[in-house]
Amino acid sequence: MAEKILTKGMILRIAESARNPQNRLHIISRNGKWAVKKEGAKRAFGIYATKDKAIEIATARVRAGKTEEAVVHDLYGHVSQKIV
Amino acid sequence: MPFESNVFINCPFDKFYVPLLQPLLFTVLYFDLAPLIAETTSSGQVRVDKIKKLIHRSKYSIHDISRSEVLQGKDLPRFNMPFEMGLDLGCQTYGKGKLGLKKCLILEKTKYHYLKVISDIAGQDIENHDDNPEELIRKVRNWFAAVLHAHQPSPTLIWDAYNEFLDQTSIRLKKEVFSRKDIESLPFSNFILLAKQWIALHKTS
Repeated sequence: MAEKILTKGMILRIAESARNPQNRLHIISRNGKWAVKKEGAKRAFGIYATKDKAIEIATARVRAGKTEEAVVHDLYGHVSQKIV
Repeated sequence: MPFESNVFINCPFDKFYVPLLQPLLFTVLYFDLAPLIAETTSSGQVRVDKIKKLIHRSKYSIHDISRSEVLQGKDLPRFNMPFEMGLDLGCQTYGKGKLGLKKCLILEKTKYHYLKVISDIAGQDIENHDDNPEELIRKVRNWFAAVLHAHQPSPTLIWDAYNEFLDQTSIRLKKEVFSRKDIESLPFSNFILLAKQWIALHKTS
């Protein structure tokens, strides 16, 4: 199957539209632990021993309306789950 | 890009290595350097000639020899990476002028595995990544920080940025009617342009 190619214009548009950080949390692997970090922030606001605990904390913030969405990443950085 | 900014990337380009190649490319771009890979150049050349040109144009090289081994029962080991690494080391040793300034990082999967299979490279900068992209970013970042002698962003900062880049880019690509399969098979030249643009807009140090 042929690869789908992006034009330079599309690439610029995609990068530009991702400019502003959103009110979202990211759950990211961190040296064998799991960080919960606000999008665009320099530092994580919490590091947890397990992924489940990090998801629990992030879910509570979504449920409380403090953040729009929590994005769970896998060990390779890809998104494995979104909590809304 | 000038010789001082080019980084020759010598690694496999199959789908099994993409989860490591993408963070590797992202890290090189985060340092405002230009990754050169054989897959993004025109196909109208003999492959080894293409590679020799890329080596000649690059001050820095990263060689991942972790796939120079049998991965599964009937597979054969792959020797392209050690061969190209040899070309690069030869260029550094016998080349004239600025070629003597070339520096390379050699990556392997398990620490000291190279001693069992290619011990003649002892004394070079050799690091292991355990097939873990977070670890790979840390090792590549630390090496660049040492050879570039400048304040550099932390490995954690680059890793976090990479995670956010993947998420934000895939959202935008889906809006452009790219399926998950389209995104996974994106040409490396497209990945490099996307990452470069994203980093230009989001980079913090």
